[in-house]
Amino acid sequence: MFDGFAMIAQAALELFTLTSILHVTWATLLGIFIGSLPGLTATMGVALLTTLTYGLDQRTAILVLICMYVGAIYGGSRSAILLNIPGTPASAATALDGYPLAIQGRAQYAMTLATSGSALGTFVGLVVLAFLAPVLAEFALNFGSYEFFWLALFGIIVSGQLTAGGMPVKGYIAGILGLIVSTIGSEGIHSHVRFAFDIQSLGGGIGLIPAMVGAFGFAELITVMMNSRSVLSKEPEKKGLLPKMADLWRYKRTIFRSGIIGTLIGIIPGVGEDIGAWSSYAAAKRASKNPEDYGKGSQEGLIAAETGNSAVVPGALIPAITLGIPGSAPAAVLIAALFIHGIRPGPMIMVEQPTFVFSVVVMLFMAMIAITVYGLALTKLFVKVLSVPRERLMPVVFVLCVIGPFALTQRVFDIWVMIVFGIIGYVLRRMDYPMAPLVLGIILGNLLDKNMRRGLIISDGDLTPFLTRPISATFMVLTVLTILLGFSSVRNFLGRTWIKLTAGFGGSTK
Amino acid sequence: MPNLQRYSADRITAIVLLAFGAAVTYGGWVMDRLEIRRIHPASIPGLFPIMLGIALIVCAAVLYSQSTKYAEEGEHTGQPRHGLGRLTLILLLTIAYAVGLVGTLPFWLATLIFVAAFICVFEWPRQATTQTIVRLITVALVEGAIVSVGVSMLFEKAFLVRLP
Repeated sequence: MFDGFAMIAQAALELFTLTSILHVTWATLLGIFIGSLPGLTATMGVALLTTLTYGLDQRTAILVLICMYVGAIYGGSRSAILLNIPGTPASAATALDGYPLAIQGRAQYAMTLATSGSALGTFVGLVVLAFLAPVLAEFALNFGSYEFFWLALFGIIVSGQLTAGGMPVKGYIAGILGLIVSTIGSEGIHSHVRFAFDIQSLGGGIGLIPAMVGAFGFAELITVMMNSRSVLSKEPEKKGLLPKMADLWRYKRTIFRSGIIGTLIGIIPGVGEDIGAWSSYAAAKRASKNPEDYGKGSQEGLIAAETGNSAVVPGALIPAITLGIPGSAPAAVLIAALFIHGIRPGPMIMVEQPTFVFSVVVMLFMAMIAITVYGLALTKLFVKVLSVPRERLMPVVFVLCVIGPFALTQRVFDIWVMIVFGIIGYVLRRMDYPMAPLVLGIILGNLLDKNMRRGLIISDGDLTPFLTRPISATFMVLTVLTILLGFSSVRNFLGRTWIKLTAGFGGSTK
Repeated sequence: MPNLQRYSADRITAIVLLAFGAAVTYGGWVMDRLEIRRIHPASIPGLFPIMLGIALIVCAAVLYSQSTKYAEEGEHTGQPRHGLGRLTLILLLTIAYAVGLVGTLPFWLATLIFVAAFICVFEWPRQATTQTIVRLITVALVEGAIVSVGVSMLFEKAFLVRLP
């Protein structure tokens, strides 16, 4: 444990330099702006910024990407409170109570409360990250091919299940499509080129960054332009009060609970910030003494949602760094960025780069301080940013979508990949297919494929080790249960059985 | 009232996905099994695609069967405010820039033209007067120039990227 503290101190000494602080300043601010503009999400921000980090050194590149991620998730609360339009899906729960507070003339109060919630959520998450990541990485050293196969499969299934709304099968389909995309190009065991159709550029496979920039950048651009409307009709009232420490202390349990829930949701592969916010919000409402205030400007509801979504960020980084399996869509892009900058996320991270996890903790802490400062100081600036017409912003976004993927490989082919994925992404969105499982499928496809076939080679084609090794069996049971619970008939049957059982138990005691 | 549009869209998607799943399965099945290299039969490159194809077929069948129920009960994204005409315009402008202009013209010029055209097309006033049009074109050209010079300088000078 003392090693951990020493490494955090060392990372802090290395990171708290004037240059790093300067990078934190611009990257977090950019993240907040991107997050606050409806239609531009954290995933898009991280994907686009990745293309701007090629020239930076490893540590600085990761620092600016983490600041972008934290800033964008936090920034979504600005438009949620001021305009009742969540800047990112993660802030949908924030709008429920933030906007009513704003129309009560307490917009500034709501924004500072949201800032405090986000900062504290990030703090809870980074503490869990510091303690849990090394333990998880050490535990994951026991994972073999069988375990990684099930873990990757579980991640895609659970992501599909939880992000697809009322129709989990669409989540599964998105995941499978992502996996199919990952099979294009040279495979990882025999280097055989699959589905390249004699197109030389496809031999190396589909690049994750061009695909992500397309699916999140270009597709979002089309969505925004198709839904364009004047969003800026309100400005914050100026008579709002700043929250006092006593207000925050009053909600200490909500903050702690939401922080833990958000972090745990973050750890679940591919689930993401919006589910973290909704789960924290629902838990806070259930535990609240005044649940009737929720949706009408409840301060507790607002702080629960914001703490929950921000805590997901460090949570999502835990499996991303220690297992190479992203906890959210932006974390998936971050994994690609780690590879680009020469960091290999996975169980070996604590062996190969033991200080890296603690550097990330310090980076998150720096981003947390930055969002606190910006959140308390720059309320008026956010309103100005939100007034930029989309017609003027979107062409700039598209120019970056084109030049970003090109800059990585200098191939025009990657621009085409971006375009194709943008159109596919738009169509899938219109058809209510979630994007997170698609991303997860693309990034986990290689892991799933290699470990499945490697496991089969080791067992000489025998499937038994996939089912009988303890960790494999646990993941298999979880995967099957997740799939079964996706069917309403199974849920109804379990509900009826439970009612019968409890009724029988109640009758016998009378 | 059932959402008939969504119902039929899901059914058509299910059929397309079913066909795609079958194609992936077939592609995996006929893929080279590398017998000449004497690899383990359980590690053939086509194994994973075969499994994915079958999984997609199963999911497409489930989607087909669930589409009626979903159309009646499910939540779905609202219709976009604009129609197919605007979508075509967006795609035309963006694809013309990314596939046509970039690589043909110098990057800065392609970007200037694209940004200015995009702003002009989507901000074109309904009741245009000479004054509003001149103002719009000026604003569009100025923003186009700033973006093209800014992005070109950033990538070319700071990141040492040879622009297309």
